[in-house]
Amino acid sequence: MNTTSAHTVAAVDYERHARLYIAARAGDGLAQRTLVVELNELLWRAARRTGLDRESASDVVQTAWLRLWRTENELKQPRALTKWLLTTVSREAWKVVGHTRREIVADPIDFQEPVVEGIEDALVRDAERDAVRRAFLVQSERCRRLLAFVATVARPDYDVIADALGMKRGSIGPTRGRCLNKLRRTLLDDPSWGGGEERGEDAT
Amino acid sequence: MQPEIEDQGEFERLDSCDERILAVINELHHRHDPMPEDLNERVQFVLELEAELDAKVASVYRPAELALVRGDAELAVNQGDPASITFDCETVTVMVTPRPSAVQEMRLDGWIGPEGTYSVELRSPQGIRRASTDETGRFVLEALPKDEMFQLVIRPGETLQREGLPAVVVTPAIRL
Repeated sequence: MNTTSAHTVAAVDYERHARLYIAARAGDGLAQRTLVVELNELLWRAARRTGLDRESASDVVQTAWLRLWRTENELKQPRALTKWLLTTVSREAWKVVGHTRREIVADPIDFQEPVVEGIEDALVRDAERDAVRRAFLVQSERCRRLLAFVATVARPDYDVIADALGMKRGSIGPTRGRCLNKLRRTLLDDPSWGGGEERGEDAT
Repeated sequence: MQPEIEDQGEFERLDSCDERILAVINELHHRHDPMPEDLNERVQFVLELEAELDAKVASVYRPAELALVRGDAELAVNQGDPASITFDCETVTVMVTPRPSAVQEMRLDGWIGPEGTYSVELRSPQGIRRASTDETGRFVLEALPKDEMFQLVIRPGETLQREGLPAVVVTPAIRL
């Protein structure tokens, strides 16, 4: 069994979403609803990463969905659906951020205090999570932003990341590697991170 | 047809430890800042209309947080009504100010520019409220239920459309 209780990284299924998009364009309401339910969280995260507050992030996500179905925006390459949506969300979010010059109240890539949970999690898992949280928070902002992004999408598109994070396309791959290495080194220095390597293979 | 696989394999493969770390980071963000419960509902609600209207979509600018105040003296600094929300789409700007008018009721004062007459629809899952602006673009909607989700549908008058304004502008759904 390869199940983990952590959120598995969302695998963006380009083919399937392309089919749903084509069906939705032809008037299939269920296909449209399925796309919304499956992609909304990804878009929400992208909007929050720009520093928008929760209400404005909700506005921006809706705006992107509304624009998607306008006749003039019909996608020539339905497989580019996720990319189009993410790019639209990022651009709209930056526009709103710049326009209102809103104070960024809390950086949404950070998580300050541990949330007190019920008894659903084993102590081991809490310890692991806390270790990752501590290690993540001491990384540079650039690393935190990039890792937060690649954590949301299993097969991210370089153009989308470049656009969303304002990075050069060519630097994304190497930066991700460096950031993950640094994070791992921080984790290995943490006594409560009890050998993630061994556990990584997932016990049955 | 071009194969379109290249956008999937750009990253080097991750080992299981990196995958595990990323999964935990994703989980932490998910717990710390969950998507609003009603966001799926809001999106689906606003999309109901889009297919038939093919309308221009307005951006939403909400007032800056009140937390910006640095000292008591600046409390009085007023850049427009702090409760006002602005909807903007290139040529049309809508500003609305919601205020509580009675228990569980809101009043919405609105202004649309450029100057002229517009018809205004306030769509909620409960139904549609209609209003028209005066010649200066002002309108009022009263006795609106609090916490209800609303989408504005703005139709510029014929004169304004002849001047190049779009036939219909829609907004995302907001809660008052």
